[in-house]
Amino acid sequence: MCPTSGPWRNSHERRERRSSGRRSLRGAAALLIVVAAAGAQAAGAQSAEARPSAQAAPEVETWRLTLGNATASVWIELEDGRSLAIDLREDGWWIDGSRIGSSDPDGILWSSWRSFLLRDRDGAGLPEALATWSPPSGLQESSARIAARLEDALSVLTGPGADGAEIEAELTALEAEFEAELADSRRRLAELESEVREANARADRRIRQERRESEGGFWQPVSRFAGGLGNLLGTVVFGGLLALAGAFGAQAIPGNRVTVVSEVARALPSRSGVVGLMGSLLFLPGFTIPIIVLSMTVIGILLVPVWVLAFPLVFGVSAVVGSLAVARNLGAWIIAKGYPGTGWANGYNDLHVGIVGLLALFLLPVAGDVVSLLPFLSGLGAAIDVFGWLAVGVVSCIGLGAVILTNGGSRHPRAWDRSDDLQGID
Amino acid sequence: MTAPVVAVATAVSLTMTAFAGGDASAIPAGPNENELARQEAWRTSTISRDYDGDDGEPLRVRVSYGGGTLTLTSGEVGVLYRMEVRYNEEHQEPVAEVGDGLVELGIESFGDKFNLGRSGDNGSLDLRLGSDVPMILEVAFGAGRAAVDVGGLSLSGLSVETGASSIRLEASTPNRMGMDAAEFAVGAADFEANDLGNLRASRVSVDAGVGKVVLGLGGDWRENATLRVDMGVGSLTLRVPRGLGLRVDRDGFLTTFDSEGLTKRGDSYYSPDWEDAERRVRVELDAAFGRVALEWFDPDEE
Repeated sequence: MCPTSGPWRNSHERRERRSSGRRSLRGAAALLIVVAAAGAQAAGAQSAEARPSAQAAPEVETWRLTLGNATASVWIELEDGRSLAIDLREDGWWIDGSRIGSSDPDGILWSSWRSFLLRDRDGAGLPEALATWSPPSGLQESSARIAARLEDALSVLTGPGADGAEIEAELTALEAEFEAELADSRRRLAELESEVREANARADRRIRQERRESEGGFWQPVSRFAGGLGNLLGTVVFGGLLALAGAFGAQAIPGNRVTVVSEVARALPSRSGVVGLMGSLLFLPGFTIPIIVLSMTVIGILLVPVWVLAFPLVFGVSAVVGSLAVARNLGAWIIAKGYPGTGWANGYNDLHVGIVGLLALFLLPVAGDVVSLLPFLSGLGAAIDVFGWLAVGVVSCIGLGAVILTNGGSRHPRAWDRSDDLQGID
Repeated sequence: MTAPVVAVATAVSLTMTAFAGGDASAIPAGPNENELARQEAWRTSTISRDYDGDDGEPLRVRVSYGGGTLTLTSGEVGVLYRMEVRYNEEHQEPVAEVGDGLVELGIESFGDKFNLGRSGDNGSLDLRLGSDVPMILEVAFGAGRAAVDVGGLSLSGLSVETGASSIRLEASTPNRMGMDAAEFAVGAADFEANDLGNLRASRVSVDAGVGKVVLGLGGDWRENATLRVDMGVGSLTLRVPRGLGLRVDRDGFLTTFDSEGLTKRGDSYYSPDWEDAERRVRVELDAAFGRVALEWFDPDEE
């Protein structure tokens, strides 16, 4: 039915799949007819000389000639359904998709066939022209066998075709079979569609159920309010703990270390912030690398638990003290400005100054949590909350950096003595 | 302006497939296995199908070609199509499918090879369509050169989409049928269409993106017609035969309009014989940037 070279055959198969069922049926019928006709030809052992080349030329439906440097193929389909495909390729001779042998690419059979197809053939006269093809003389045995097969195949084009009524009956039967299969397929498709609809409906119900369960149903507003209260409480507790830790640290840390840290944070906030950020980023490697190093020795292994406890503790205390030091700066500034509600605070009392600073520091996170409790404002509350905690993070970085720069408030910052901002630091 | 977008998209996809397939180049004198393999991958196919024309319903004929040289003319009676194709078997295959009132012809590219460097030879498609076959012709052409002569065909519809190409379309003899509309979508191309009157279309639309467009209004206009030109950037030349009534309605942004031979009345430009002309063509022109020029010619001298 078709030429048989690799891509060609693939493409033809694809095209056949895309074509209509009716066309496929006609093709199948034609194939049957060709096979039957070929069988009859073989049984009759008709010689090349006896081929009916003088018969009336059959009508050509479609044909195709393809020529390449090493290929020469012909495919022809007649109106009565007969068809023939002969391919001469690098890997041999093919008739209707079956390889019949190979001949020398430079041999006379190869050249004869190729030059025959190279002539400009008219489609209407192509069957006759093909039927009149005769192999060249002087062929070797293997090539002669191929030539005989070619002649036999070509005789199909001019041999008697199948009876028209027989073809129609065959087609009718095949069409009936096709229609039955089509009806069966439609029925199965309808069943499948019904099953898919039911499955979709079940999935929708399940999704809705799960959504209701995850959203808490009737208790959703209550649970959301309770969650908001929890967040607010957490923020207040955290701020309170920070204040307690700061107050305790201020009492426990000897000398004026907190004051030194506070002054450096005020005088060099950007440098302190960068140093604090770097310190935060280096926390993990600074924590893990010594553990690895210590683990290499027996004594070191004994010190690992001490390091695991001491390093985070020192880091945390540094951050808290630093944050408190910055909060003190903030508190002193607020009290000095005399904002409403700060009349109770004494600017010379470190505890008052620290409390005012911490309250100011946690104002935004607390406000965010409070706004989140209000209906329809949870988004705004979350934004305020994020912004507030970001500010807390920045303050912590500045405080931590100031602690690092002053070596915990113990180092006299000689390097910065030239800065006017540091005048007065002891 | 959707048509140019479609045309450009068609052009891009077809051009890419064209380059993917068209990687053959001139064959070197010395032995080179790759070049020899490339050379051996080229095929020349002649494909033909007869036409019995029993039902008389117009067929939808789609011609798709990514790039190369396309020639399309009318062929002999009784033959649906006859095409001679030169293609690279490694990346392309001829398409000749018939079914359910649809005929698909052309060259299809496959594979994922993308080769922009070897465009010396991108193959060719020489297609002849049966002049007695009633059809709606749709041509999608990507990159390269195309010469399309639809004269003598039996067209009840025509659409041409082209991309980065040079395409010359003619209707050298009158269409055997009439059509409501002929549509041309040009991406970035030089597009010349002559004797549009022979299309026997009551509406002709040209959607052009970027490039040079020449529209010849010669030919045998069967009825009054409307020509709509929607153009992005480029030049447009209207070649108008004397004796044809012409009215131009112009709408545009930064476009110069050479209205030589026309008289402005209201917002429209009219040829002097507009009222008395046997056939009239109204041009609705919408151009963004560029130049629009008129060329008058004597149809008897053409």
